[in-house]
Amino acid sequence: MGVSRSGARGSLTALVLTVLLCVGWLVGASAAWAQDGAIGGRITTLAPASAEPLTVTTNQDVCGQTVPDESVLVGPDGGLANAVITVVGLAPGVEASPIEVTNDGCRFVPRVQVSRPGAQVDLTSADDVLHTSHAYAEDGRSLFNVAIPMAGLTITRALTARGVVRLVCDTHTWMRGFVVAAVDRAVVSAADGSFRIDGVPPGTYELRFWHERLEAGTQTVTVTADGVTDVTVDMRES
Amino acid sequence: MFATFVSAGAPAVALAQGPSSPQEMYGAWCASCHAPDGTGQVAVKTITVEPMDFTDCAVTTPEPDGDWELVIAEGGPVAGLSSQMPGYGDALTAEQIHALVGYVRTFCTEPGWPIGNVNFSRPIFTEKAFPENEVVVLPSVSHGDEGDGASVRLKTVYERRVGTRGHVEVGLPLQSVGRAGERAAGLGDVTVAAKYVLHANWASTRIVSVGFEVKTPTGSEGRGVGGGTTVLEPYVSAGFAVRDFVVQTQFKVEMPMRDPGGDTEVVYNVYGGRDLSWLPSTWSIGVEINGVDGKLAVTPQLRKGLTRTGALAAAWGGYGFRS
Repeated sequence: MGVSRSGARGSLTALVLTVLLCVGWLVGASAAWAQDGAIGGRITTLAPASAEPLTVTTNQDVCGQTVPDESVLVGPDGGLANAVITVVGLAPGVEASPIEVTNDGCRFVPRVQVSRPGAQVDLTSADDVLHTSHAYAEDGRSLFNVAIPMAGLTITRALTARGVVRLVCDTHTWMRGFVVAAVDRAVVSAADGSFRIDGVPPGTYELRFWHERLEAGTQTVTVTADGVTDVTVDMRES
Repeated sequence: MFATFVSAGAPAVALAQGPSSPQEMYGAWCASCHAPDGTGQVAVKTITVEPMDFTDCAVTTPEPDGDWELVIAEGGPVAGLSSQMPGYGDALTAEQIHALVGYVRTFCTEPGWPIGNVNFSRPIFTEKAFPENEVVVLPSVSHGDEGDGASVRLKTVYERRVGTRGHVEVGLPLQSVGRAGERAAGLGDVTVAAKYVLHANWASTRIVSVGFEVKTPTGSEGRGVGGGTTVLEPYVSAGFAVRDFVVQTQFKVEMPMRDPGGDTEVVYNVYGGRDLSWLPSTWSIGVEINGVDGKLAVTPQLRKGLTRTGALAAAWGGYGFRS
């Protein structure tokens, strides 16, 4: 079976075009990545940290006599942990799915996380006592309530709401956890209040801030190519 | 209804640790809300709703095991109960959940309450033997014959349990009847009835009841929507379960007071059928044989729970009499 001269020329042309397209895509992609900026900064507060431990009213053999009140965690220089910073209009990044929430020491760990609507959440327990993981949407709807009666079980559920999903344990009333099911890019501030969001295309964005007890208004920031836009936000009691 | 419950989310590997007996499981996983004695009165209350009092037999006995197992597996909202009742279906095996239901039943210590497992699906004509708290709406359409047009009937029956084994009910029929080229509509003959369970075995495989219904002449006989006389209707109803197959029967005598000797009729209904799965909302398929004196009808029928617990259900069937 022979190959005609015109056919071979056509194949060579297609190959060259394909290579050029690939190179162009790679150059373009790297150029676009190089042009992205970042948003970084700190969340602070003048509000006092929650200092008094919470009294355990049941299952003291497992939970202890008290558990720490983690509702307002403030670092030595005023940095606020567990605040959620959302970049409105910026697509979510690649986040772990499913996320994991552990009942550990009669506390939800981690207390605050970010995920997406529809994402999976693995609910597990390190405590050998009955916990329930009862999720409520912002409008008060019960999304699910699963019993985790012993340590080592993992039960998976979907986040069927958007916004702040509140987790409570119906057998240990002090337990609180939060999963922010965000349609935009969102991160949680670290223990010292710091946060950083990479891969933000240049432009102007609105930032929103959420904390389970404290509040702050929105901020508008401008991100430049290869630059880090610094943001400091003070969150206050409402 | 009687098949062993299988939870879709049951753990693939049975958990070796943890409590094993039903009493231990209840103590570890239920008593913090429902109290060790089943009353729901706990020293440290952690939920905001009032839990069921399992010692109240009127609460604990009427529903079949399948309903309880569904609530334990999937949580309160599946049966319209509080979302603070969590689902255990991903954590416990079907056997553990079944054992918990059996233990919860023991909190009712008053003898005589029939268990909901003999609360068999309602056939179209055969009167159930189990006492109920419910509203039943019975629409029916009959073809016309011998010059009479078709008739449409909508009977609503309000049923309430009385005491351990009793049941009273009131039935209000609305009818539209075609007669000699004309159509009449209105309230038919109102019925009042009482029923009492004579026997229900603890294994929940059989139940026998006696009842007495009075049909009052509230409808207009002249317009064709009433019988024109009081009718006394004593009856016996029974239900039996053999695995998933159920037989229900009713034997009734209808005695019109106007001419009790001449117009008395003997009515008998026999239903045989089965539920197609353990789910309370499952399809039921069956057939009834309905007899009135020398006439006999066969009524094949389907029933489907419209809610997940089957609390709301619809049935379809058709029949024709043969002399």
